[in-house]
Amino acid sequence: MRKIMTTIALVVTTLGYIQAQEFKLAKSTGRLEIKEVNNVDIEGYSGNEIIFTSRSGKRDADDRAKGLRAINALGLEDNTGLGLSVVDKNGVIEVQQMKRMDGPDITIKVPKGVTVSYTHTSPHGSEVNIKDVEGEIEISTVHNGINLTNVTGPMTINTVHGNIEGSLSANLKNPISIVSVHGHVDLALPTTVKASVKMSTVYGEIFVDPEFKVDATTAGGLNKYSSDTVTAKINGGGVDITLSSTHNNVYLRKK
Amino acid sequence: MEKEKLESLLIDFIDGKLSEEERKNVEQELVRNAEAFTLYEQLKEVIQAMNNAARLEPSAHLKVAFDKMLQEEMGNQKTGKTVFFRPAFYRVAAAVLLLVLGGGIGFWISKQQQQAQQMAELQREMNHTKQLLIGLLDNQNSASQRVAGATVAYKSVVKADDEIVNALVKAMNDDPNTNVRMAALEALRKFQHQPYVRKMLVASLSTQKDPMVQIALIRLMVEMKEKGVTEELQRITTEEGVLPAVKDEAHIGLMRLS
Repeated sequence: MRKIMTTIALVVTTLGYIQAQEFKLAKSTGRLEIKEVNNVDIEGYSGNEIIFTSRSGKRDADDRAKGLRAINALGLEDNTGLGLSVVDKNGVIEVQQMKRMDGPDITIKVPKGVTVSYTHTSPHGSEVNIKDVEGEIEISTVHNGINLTNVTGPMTINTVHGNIEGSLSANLKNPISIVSVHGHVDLALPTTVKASVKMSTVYGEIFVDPEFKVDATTAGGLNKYSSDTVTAKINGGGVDITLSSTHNNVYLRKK
Repeated sequence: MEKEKLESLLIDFIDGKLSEEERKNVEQELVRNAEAFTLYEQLKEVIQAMNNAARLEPSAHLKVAFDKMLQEEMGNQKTGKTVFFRPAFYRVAAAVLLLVLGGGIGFWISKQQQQAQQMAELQREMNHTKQLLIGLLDNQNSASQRVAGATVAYKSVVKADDEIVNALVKAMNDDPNTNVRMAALEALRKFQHQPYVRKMLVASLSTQKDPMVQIALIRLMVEMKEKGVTEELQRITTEEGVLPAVKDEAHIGLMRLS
């Protein structure tokens, strides 16, 4: 019993500690560039500060590091207390992590007017989660997958090995381009959305929800059988959406 | 007395137009002056001759001949200058014809002008599209806008001029964002039959570093049946640091092209 109580107490204090780990930056427009941060969730919200929160308390376990500052070979310095370097370079906020491999679990809350750019090339880390972001999104990864929830675009998303999954909100903004080489692309759209969707795959297959009114367009009244691109107008056409997976499947489903 | 004055006085004297006093003066002058008298004689003769001449009538024969000639001449002129269509119906028809012709010419001219206007309009629209496209492709702050630029090229441009092609080629080769490169390639693919575009596409294969674009390019080379790239594909299959998927695509390309 006593043991359980201590565990609970420990958990509670840890939670409190985690919540306290926060870094704020006043910025409601402009560009946020997140580079090589391994574990990150990005959330849109209506405020005017970019808020960085760490979900892992690992860094503070090291008593020896107390009073010292973390630096790394890229010339970066931990100026947030989260294991992150956040630097303003001519109005562009650059975010990089200090560690090369695992690194902290970070949640970044982003005001609606900020453009979010995320680039990642190393094989470390996990999927990047983007939620409720209404600004422009640019994501480029090599190994990590991408999850999109309730985003509007405009967005350009590409990955070499990752899967891209997502559901878009109803008020889409032009253009939306989602491209993967080896992973699948799985996108859910509200049925009311007006869009011109271009879906292509080379070695995979294309699946579309039967509820979408797809008027496949053909060139000169002829279908080219070797063609790997399907052009479809949903509800008469509108926002340009490009979905492409070279080696895997493309799924278009209703939300 | 001066000669001119005397002369006019003498003429009036002969015509009997002078007053009593003037007549007496002239008579005295004539008596006194022999020279004036000879002038009087001469003038009298001339005036008499003139009066006689006025009374000369053309002979009857001459008049008939002249009248006949006149009639003939008039007759000739009449037949030469007829412009009127005899029955009224023809006149109406001619008027209608003229009206229709005039209307037709007017219509033709207005149509010509309209066409010219439409051409100018089209030209302006194309220029506008081009400016829009190049402006969008040049937006360094937003990858989405650059994708939108390439999409404009893909959707609205029928035949790309060098300026558009160069902007697209630059995006395909140098843009930091893969999606922009892919969108630019997709647009260029539409213009692959233009020799310059084809040349730029082939050239891009040896410099392209983006694996996704590399794969798409190799596939396009196969689609275009571009046999000139086999050496380049060979190089890709053996080069280190190239993604296995790209090498696979190069192998497939080599097999399809040879």
